[in-house]
Amino acid sequence: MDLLTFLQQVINGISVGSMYALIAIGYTMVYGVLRLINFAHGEIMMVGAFVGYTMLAVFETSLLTASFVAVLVSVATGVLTDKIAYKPLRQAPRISLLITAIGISFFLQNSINVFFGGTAKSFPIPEFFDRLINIGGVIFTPTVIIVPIITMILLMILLYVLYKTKYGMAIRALAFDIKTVSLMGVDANKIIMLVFIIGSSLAAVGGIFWALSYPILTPYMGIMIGLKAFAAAVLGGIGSVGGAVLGGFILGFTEVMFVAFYPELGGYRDAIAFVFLILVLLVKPTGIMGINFEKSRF
Amino acid sequence: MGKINIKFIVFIAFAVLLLVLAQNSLDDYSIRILNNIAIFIILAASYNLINGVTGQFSLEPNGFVAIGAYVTALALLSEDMKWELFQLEDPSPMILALNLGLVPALLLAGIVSALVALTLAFPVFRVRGDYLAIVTLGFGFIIKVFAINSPEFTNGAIGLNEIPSVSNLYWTGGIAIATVVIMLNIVYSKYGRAMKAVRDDEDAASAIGINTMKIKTYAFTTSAFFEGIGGGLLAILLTTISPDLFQFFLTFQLLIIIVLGGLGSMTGAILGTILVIGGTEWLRFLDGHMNIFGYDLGAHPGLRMVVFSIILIVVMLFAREGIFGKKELSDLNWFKKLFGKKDIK
Amino acid sequence: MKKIVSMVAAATLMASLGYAKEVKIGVVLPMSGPIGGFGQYANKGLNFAHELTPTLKNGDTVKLILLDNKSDKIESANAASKLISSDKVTAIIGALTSTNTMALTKIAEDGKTPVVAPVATNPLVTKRRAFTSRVCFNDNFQGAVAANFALNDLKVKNAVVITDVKNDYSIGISSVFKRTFKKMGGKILKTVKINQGDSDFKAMLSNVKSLNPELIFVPFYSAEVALIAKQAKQLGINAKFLGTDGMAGDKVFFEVGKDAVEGFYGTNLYSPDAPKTTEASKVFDEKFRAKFNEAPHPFGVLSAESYNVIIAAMNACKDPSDSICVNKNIRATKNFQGVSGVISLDKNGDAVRSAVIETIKNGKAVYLKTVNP
Repeated sequence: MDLLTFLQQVINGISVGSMYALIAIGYTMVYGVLRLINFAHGEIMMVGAFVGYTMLAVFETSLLTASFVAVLVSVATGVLTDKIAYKPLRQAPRISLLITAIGISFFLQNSINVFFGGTAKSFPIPEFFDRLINIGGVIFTPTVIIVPIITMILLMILLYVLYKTKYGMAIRALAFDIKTVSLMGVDANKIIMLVFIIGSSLAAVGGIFWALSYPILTPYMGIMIGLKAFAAAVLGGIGSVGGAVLGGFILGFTEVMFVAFYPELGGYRDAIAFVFLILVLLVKPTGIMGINFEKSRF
Repeated sequence: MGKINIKFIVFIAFAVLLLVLAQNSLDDYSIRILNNIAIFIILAASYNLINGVTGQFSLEPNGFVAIGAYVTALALLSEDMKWELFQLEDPSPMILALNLGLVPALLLAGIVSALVALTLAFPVFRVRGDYLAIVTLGFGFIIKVFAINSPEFTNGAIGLNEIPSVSNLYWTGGIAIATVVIMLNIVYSKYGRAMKAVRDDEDAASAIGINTMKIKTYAFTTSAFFEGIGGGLLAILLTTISPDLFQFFLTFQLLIIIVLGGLGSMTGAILGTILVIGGTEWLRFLDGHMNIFGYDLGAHPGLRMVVFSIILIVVMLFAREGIFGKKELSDLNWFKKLFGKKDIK
Repeated sequence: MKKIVSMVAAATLMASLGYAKEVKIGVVLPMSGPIGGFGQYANKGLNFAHELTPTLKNGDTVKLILLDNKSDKIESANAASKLISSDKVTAIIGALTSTNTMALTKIAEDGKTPVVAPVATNPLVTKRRAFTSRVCFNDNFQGAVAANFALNDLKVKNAVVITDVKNDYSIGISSVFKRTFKKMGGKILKTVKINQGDSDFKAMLSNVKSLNPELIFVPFYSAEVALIAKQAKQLGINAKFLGTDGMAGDKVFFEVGKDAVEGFYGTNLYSPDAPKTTEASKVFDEKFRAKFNEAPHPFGVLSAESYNVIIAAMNACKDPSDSICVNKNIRATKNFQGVSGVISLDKNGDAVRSAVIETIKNGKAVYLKTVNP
């Protein structure tokens, strides 16, 4: 394929990758502190997208306001989920937590389904994002450029918080050994709540970006995207924020390139994430940048 | 064998009597629901073996059920039917040659699923806990993608129709009874005890000399065998299958069933199936127009599923052990008194 | 004496006839789930037809029992079973998609209950089923119509076909289109696969763009076509686009596609602004617009059609709840002046009727021409 098309795909891949990255961060952080795969995380992204849609389509606010409200609602959902469903089970066997997470996931999907109706909703993209920009034959929309840039900015902020603030240190400590750290006077529940706040807000932003890029919303959109983001997190090394981002980009990129070169095999696109997932878990479960959690417990 | 003799015989006789009564007196709709329940009992009991008894949180049933259903369907369809049904691409010669009767078709379904499980067991059981769940989820998903994208084997998304039907309760109910009996036998055997040991503490089990890998593989493969047969029966009941039948939702339903009934209890699995499958039909009214005390609440399709997820969450929060916990019916005190105490090993 | 007896007999007969009964028609539609939107359009049209004709000629009231199949096969089967055994319906309308319909036809066949499918177009739906009929054409016809239109009207010589592998409807039509297109001398450059539910098509479209096709055939549902249209425009693809009856069915298509779908072509079952060929369709259209202030949706019109065909069949039966008689009459429908045009059912239960071609202009589907069988 010619250089132009290739460049087009590179940009596309980076865009898709950023969205996976944003959502993957939430998975990885929750797993880090709670050792829980928050199956409901994909739904948090979906809720964010739907709230954004409601704000834009029904209340006709600006994109900024819509995003803000979306983040608020997603954060509320995430925090409530933790308080109601995960916190009471802190000492329970892991299987119970996993099953509960799946239950919450289904609950959110179907509640949105009942509330908004089963048909697909079209996300009203603001004019600014819908224009076409042409640079040297490579055509794209502003969304494609803005998404990776904002993702990077958010990532920088997150890394700063994690490595240069007290709360960040608490989060990292909790990920290392929750029991001991609690004994040292850190209020584990507050820190866990903070983790959910961060993860959920990033997911909400991811949801809005997704809606801007692919403006069709269904209550079930979170399933595949969530699973793929999770695969990305595992690929990059679950528990590591940098890993989640790396995994997100690798996955997004691979998906796009695969279909670009072999569109006749387009039906297999979704399987790529799972193939990565299984390969990683079998060959190097800690992922590319991962920390070995099984060993760091005592 | 010989451990719970009289109880078994009474149980089986009672169940068979119920089957005969039901088959002959109920209307088609009720028979259909009972068929559904019987099939899900098979699936739940076998899923319970790997999940509840051996404690390996696997999310793979929808994959094995799919394999079983497709194998049975392909084996039962005549060659002419295959030429007619396959729209996208011509059926592969291997598929065309496949032509078996009912019982061999079901057995083949079980065997193929078991073989796939055997192959998967080696990579899958290298990981534990949450990772195991995700890997099995992934395999289930990959099987579905394969079904959609291999039209020369499976006719892709169109699926297979005109599968010969044998939808009476004698088959489904009979196999369900047989499955439960076999499962109970396994659970009470030395293999069952080893599985429970692996569930309770894998490292300790390993330390006392149990080959955990072998036990896990054994449970996984047996589970898959029966899930495959259940899938085959499902194909026969529905007479038409397609890849979208075997979504994660199927696994989710089985999960609710065994959690509700009690992870590790076969009796619980049976009770759970009746509650969930029967409940799904009964709760149908939630999706239609509702009139409570004269207030018209309108129709909210999808409410049924919301209620189900809430039930699952509530059970996990407040009654994690489910209805039966890890016990069987025969472990309950009043049951023991009623049927006299036999030597429980 | 004889006179008195015969008068008493006549009186009793009249009395029993005057005793109006209730006849039930079961309806299985996806009201929720991925194609819930389509189901809702269908139901709207169906209910309106019921409003217009709530009773039979002999005064019996018609009751519609609606069950939601959630866009799922097992649910379709269970719903049909319940309707036949429990609710004892005389006929069933539904489901919407071919696979879901096929899930219930065997049960209906065993229960000797006629099924009328409004829009299921896969040829296999009526195969081997004496009790299943449809008021729409099947995809063998639709695929050929599309290929014909492409070659003769749009005068394109090559095409790329995009198939949605998760959608059985898409697979069926793609197959027929390709066969017909090639037979008539056209060239299929490539067949590309997508999955229902995908959102990102840019990679696939770049590849398609490099092939420079004159036509891109998109036989699948609104959401995916709209996204492809948008992304194709963003990539600067210049080909003509041709879709089928699932394309413009959901208003999401216009909301998302906006100006990217201008100039798209599509085959369809019915177009609200086609010249009306029957009195019945004129009346239906006017009354519908008067009540709802919008044009009737093709799925709604065809569901109404199913209803009317069943009513006509029931009216021609001595006992309208005799499902075998009703089925016989449904199958015997010839030159029926329906609300969607003139239809006749052939010996397989398929409707022989015309298709329409539409084009998208100013955000609406505009009628272009009719293609007769």
